[in-house]
Amino acid sequence: MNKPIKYTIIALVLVFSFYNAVYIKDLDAVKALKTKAVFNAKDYADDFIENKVQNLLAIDASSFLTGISEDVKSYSESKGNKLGISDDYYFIIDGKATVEKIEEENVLVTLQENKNRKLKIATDFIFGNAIREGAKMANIGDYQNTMDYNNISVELNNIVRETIVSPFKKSVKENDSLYFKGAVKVNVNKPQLDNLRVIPLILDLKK
Amino acid sequence: MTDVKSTLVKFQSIIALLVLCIVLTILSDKFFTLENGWNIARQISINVCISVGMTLVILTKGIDLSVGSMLAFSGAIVAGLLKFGLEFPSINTFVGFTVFGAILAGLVVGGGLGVFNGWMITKFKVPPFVATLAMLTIARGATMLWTGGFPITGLDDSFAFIGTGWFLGIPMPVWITAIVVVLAIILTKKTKFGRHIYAIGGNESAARLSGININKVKIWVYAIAGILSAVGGIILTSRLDSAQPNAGMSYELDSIAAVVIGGTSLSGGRGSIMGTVQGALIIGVLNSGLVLLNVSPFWQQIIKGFVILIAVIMDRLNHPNEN
Repeated sequence: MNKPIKYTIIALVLVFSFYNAVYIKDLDAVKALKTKAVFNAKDYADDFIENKVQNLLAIDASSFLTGISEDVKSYSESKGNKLGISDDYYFIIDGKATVEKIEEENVLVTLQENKNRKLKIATDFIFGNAIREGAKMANIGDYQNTMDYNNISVELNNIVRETIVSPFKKSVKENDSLYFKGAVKVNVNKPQLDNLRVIPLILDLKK
Repeated sequence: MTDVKSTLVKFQSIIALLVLCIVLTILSDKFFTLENGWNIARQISINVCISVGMTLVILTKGIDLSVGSMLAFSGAIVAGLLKFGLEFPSINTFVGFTVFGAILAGLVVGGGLGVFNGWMITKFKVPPFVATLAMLTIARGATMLWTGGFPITGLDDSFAFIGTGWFLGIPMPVWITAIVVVLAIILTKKTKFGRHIYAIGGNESAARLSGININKVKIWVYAIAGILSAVGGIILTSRLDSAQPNAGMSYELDSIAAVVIGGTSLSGGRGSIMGTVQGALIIGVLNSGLVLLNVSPFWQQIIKGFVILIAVIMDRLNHPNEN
């Protein structure tokens, strides 16, 4: 093959490849579009707490404790939600309870429906991921990066700590009655059902 | 008797593979299933791609320790360009990449790194072990720099097809690997370039005296190894739908193991692509079988190490006069 033909073919292949390989746009326009599409975890978490928690379906705490103590695995599989291949299942539960003891990291409550059933309301270590998974409010597959997904948990953590736990800690006293709704984590391999901690979403004290 | 022995030596990899398959089928009812077969095929596809490149390098009496890092860097380049494109603020221009463009860029980067390896080895006479060891850290550092140490996730759906899709009932990675293997067989068996590779590995001085451009062939060989690492990187990135900064770590060892088990001589000049495919299959089947048998990962490494040792010892026994 003579050289001019050879170089013409190479040039045509390169032009064709380049044409199909890249597209050029105005940088400002692309940036404006990206800013619009950026996921805001704080807004998402705010919206959830303000507008969705009240109507969030929850399992009655007493029947949850009865069901989970009968068969942790099958109950968790049918009623709980888990992330990936983890052994941790998350639930949203609610109920009426009486404050028995105020501890450093929790408030110990007794269910009004069944005085033998006790739970701990977490007031120090708040794990937003329990709420996120329990409420099934976000699916990891829907997020372009895991950071966005994790940020939902971080924002939930902040909101719960500031707007729910903080006022509750200031006014709660032993023997107070309350209505609670929150998330619970249960590990099916090491259930520790006597030590379940509720990450609160609603804490409504009735003096 | 000599005929029997030479036949056994010739087919030792296949015999070892068959014995392994029979033993694992007896020990685990989940091993000999179609699903597990596809799993193994998909898992070894990346190793086969990089091992084919490694075979060419080893045939020239070289070694390439940087394949794992080049795989990671190429994969990260593809993912980064696909997701973020390139920004040129000074001219207010954004250059976006199509799937084809990003893949092309990844292959060019892989090839470029390979050329750099070859250039260091031929121009400055840096031993292949050292030159590619340097590239191992350079490419890994570049990957960290490019990704910022974080995975690049959420790539294009059509890109995911490369690593997870099926075509005519066969997984896409298997198709890609099959094409790579066929091309490499043609290259080594049917072309002048292939004969030059064997000649250089067999006796470099004789090859030079017979007029072969040693440097050019070596640079091409390292470039091909780089391109095939990039192919592996593209498959891996697509399969995971993300580019991980630490992807491909210690892949060079699996790749060298596949080449050695496949009967390619580390002294160069002797070996075949099909042997390497068999070597990769043995490693893949062994990995799958040990997992199915619930063998601890620590023991798996020890067992794999012994398999490599046995392969090399058998090779030495079969070719006692080779350096």
